[in-house]
Amino acid sequence: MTQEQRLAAAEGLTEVLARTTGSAEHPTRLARATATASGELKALDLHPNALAQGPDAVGRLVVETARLATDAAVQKSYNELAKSLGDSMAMAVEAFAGPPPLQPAGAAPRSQAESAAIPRPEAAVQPQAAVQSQVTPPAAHRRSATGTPPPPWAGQVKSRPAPRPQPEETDDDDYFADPFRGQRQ
Amino acid sequence: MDETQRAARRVADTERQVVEHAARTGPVLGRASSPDGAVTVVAAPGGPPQEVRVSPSALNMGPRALADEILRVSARASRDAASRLHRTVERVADPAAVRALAEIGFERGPDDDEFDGTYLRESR
Repeated sequence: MTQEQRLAAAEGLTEVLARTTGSAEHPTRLARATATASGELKALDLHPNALAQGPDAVGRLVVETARLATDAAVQKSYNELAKSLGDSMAMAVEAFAGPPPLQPAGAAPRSQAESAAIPRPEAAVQPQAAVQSQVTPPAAHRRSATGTPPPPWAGQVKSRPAPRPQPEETDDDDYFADPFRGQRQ
Repeated sequence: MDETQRAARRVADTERQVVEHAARTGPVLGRASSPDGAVTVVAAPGGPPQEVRVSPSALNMGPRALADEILRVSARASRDAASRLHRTVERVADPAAVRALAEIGFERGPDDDEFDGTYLRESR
């Protein structure tokens, strides 16, 4: 890619960021949102049941869903960027702008919902991590609200979903030494 | 010193000035509310809404109307955030940096502070 092409691609970057939108559904399925990579909400749908959760919960629901949609849009922008600038340039951008929020390609929407639904373990010991999902795990809030002492396992959170089974041959060296190893009887 | 180094130094200087200014004045946040107070949104420039407050009576609007109102108010909060970012950067950075802000999508917008004492607003 020549310098001129790179400049032209960079010129288009702002437009890509403004044009690219991402959509996400809240893990509770009570809200859906579409947002640009710069966080501008373009569409919002609230499930009728969402309103029954009370005004505070609706507010949090919208904030969390908007963040998920923005993350999806940023991820899409990165993908667009990689297309127009080439992978090496996109990696250079990631190096200073931070990693893309979602995992690449196929698994993206599902893993995104899961990562929001399940608070990360460190959030349990650091309550100031306020960006963690606050709508989804109502059980913990209710427990503390009733006044009964929480059981010893109250602070625990569900573990991450089991990792996808890895193919046994992940070592490139093994593969290149004998690419047909796994297919021999 | 070549052109790239000069540019890098100017970027670093501008960043330092803006960061120092923001450290004194607090984070730049935009805010907007519906006229009846049903929905209030707080947003940072270039980010999704940080806080959405819904009044208890707003739940009576129903899901569609409430979602539309949140959309309207959050768009205004984003514009307010962009405007405030402009005013913050204007105080410390050179005009080129301020123009660059507009180029990357942060519009200056009218000063629509309710407390600046003029009724002569431009029409929208």
